Amino acid sequence: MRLTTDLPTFVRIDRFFDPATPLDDLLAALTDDNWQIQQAALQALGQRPDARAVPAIVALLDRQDALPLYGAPDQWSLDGAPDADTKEIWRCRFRVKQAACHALGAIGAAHGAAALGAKALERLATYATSQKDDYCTRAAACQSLGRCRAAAARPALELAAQDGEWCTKTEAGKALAALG
Amino acid sequence: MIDLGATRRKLQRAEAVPGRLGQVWRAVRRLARAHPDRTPWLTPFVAVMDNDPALIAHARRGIADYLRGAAEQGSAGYLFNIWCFAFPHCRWALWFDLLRRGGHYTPEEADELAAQFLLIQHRDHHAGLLVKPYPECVDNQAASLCLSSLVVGTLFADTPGHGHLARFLREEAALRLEAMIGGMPRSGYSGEGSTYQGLIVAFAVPFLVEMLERMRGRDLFDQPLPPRGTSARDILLMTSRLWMPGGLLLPWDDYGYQFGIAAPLAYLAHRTGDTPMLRLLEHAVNWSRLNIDSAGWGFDHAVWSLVWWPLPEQPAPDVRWAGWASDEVGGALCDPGGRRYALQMWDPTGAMCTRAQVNPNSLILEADGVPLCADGTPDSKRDPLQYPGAVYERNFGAGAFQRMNLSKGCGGSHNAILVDGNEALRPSDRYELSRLEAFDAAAGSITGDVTGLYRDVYADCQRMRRRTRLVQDRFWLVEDLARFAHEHDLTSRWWFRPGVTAVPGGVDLVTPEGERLQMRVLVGSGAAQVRRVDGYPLAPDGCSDRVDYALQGREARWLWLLWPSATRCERERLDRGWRAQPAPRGADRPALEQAAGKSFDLEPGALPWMQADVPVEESWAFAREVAVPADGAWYLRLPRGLGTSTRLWINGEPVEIPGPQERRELLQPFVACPAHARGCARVRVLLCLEYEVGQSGKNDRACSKPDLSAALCVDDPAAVGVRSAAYADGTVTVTTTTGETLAVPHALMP
Repeated sequence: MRLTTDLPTFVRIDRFFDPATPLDDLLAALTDDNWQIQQAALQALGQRPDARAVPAIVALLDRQDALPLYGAPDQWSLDGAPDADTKEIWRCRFRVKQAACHALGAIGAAHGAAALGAKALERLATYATSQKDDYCTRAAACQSLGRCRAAAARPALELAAQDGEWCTKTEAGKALAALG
Repeated sequence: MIDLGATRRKLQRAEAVPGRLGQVWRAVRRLARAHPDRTPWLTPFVAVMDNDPALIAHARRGIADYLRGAAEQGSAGYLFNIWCFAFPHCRWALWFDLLRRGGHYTPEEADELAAQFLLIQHRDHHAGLLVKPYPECVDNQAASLCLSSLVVGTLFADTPGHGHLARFLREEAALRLEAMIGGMPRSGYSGEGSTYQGLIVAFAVPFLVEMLERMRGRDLFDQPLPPRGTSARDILLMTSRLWMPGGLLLPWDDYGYQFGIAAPLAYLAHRTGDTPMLRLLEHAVNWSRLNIDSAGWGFDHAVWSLVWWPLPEQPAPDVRWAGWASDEVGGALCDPGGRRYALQMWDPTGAMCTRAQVNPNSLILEADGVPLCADGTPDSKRDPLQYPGAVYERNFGAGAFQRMNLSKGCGGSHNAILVDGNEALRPSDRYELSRLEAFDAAAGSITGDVTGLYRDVYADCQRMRRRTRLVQDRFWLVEDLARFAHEHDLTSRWWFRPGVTAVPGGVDLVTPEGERLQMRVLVGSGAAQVRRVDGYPLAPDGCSDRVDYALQGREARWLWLLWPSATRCERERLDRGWRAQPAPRGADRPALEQAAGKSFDLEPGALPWMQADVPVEESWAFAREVAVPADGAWYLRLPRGLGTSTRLWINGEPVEIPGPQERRELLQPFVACPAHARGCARVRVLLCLEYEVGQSGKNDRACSKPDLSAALCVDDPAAVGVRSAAYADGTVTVTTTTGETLAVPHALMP
């Protein structure tokens, strides 16, 4: 899962954002060892929303949720010097989950909340209020639920609207307004 | 963004004429040439301007070092504050582009590096932008993240690869660009205080507007932009108003007094040709900090000043100060010479009063260039402000929990009226805006109505107003009116710099610089309670004197006379006659005295390499003899910007420079005649300064503001104080210590 900033990595990521790139290439990238490849593929999926991507995105989120609680104080001191693997998990943090939430939001906006299926919607609703996730994930989940007009997520959004963190609270409020 | 040819020609012309622009350019160039690896933020620009192969090699190495470091980033401090790294990333990309355009990379090298800039932008920064709610989020963080995605995406949209990633970054950021200007409050004040307004938001504005104009293909500088109708000019004009005549920025947030940077002013001058901005650039900016002040989380503000700063036909005349008022945030009164300055503020805030603080009608006073009021942030080790209920807690998730003491931002930490002893005064998130009630610059009067803020907390508040007057460009009258439906304990609270003593009818303040303020209560309770608060604020003094005047009732009215006077005067300006020499770091006095190297005719009040083409050395010794009164009744006023390493000897004996580090950095220390020099008609002064020649560290940096050179000062026998003051029949009568009587009509506020 080592990160690279070399030209071959760039060329690969650059191609994800080419509309001519086959969907299967993007879906395959969701299982890549490099989380930046995953993140880029998710963002590219958000640019060309396709409901066929939902199961792969949910599976990716399953894997993300199985990662250690990388931010838990007992595993990670905010001021500590991490080993290389922990550093990589730390770098990744919310970025893949955020991109996944946004991709689901784009698919839901284009094809309706039903196109996401119950599992994906439930996952977004869980993230919207999850205090063990970064606020960036919470905010992205709220935004995506609003874009999908996912009425079933109203209770979660109402809770998120009370979040002490401004981005989450703001996105939840906008999502509730979108639900009407 | 940088027209290489035009900039090069301008700087060449500037070198040939007198004026600050040429002086600053020469200093930047000398510094970068002497220490290219220690000045990585300056080197690329100088290298390209001079087209110097050796410097270009240093610049290339600096860019490579930056990219290597950025690729390895991943600490909590980096990821939780990603905007602090995004704006610098954008500028490093610009420096790289500058060299790339100059042909200093092969196409293959350029592609490789451009790919790295794009990948880091994508990996780290762009995700940070997407967190920010759009279009609601308009602040320094969002602007920084927006700029970096936009600039990096624009610069590298054609190569390497096919530009798909670059366009993705650019287009998402472009959506938000207009709102980063137009979404600012109409006042142009971001609400984040002088630090963020002056050193980040306004520093970003030129980049934002240049990019927006490039996208739209037309001039948008004065254009009110959606969603709030604010223009780039509004923001920069407000930024110029942060400058107080003494050279510091308003302590308008929890960072307190500090120096400002010139780049926003230079851009305003560039776009408008405004003479006042040219005057500020020429005379008010502390250019000795050109390599050490962080702006937009980087150290290249001097370079951007050089890029934007228009070359005037002739050096601008001295600054003429003027008052101003904004309905949304407050207003200032000032005489043209800048001797008397008052800011009355009421900028919006809410319960989360960290940067935007609760300062309803709070006053900041400055006289003769010396700040009189205390505001800022506490010493974190002591944190003496602990108001009940002033705590805010929030959970960022994943174990990142924050508990904040908001006391420094509450009403009790400002020059405001407290109700029933509630120091934790702060409104809810939504409250009626405070407003400008009246402003007359010519008459020197400003009235602010903050009833709405108090009514948000106390439903029975009927009126809360303050009127400040600058009378005869000499003194202030301040009137407060608080009216409630029910009886309350009402306290008029003032925070002054240390040096307050209670006197009949008020208090006297004498600052460490010898500026005196006599405060007399003409209407209302004059019984002052004075309390020294150690640890607040941190700068400049590490403490303050808090003064409370209490009343009980449904209505409280105070009318104050505030009479400033300088109790010390210059006998001789010591801006010439010094023998200046580079010195070995840490050298003892004999070594400094006996140094045999070449000496220069320089003064300690400005960077040596700003004054002349001299070696850019870290350590300098300045020596001269000074004729002094033999009775010992004198002070040596030193330049400001002195660090802990500064050493002073008088007649060969070491002399301690008074005051905490923060004060010596911001203000001019006064050293009283040491005991061993009494009886001497001449003294030999030896001053050793350690300068910062890199872009980190905390070495000395003297101040280049021209009227703040070292000087020999004495107590001023002609200083005029107040002997008595009273208010009767609509007239304030003041009798001075010279017997002069002033009668000033003053109608009390309804």
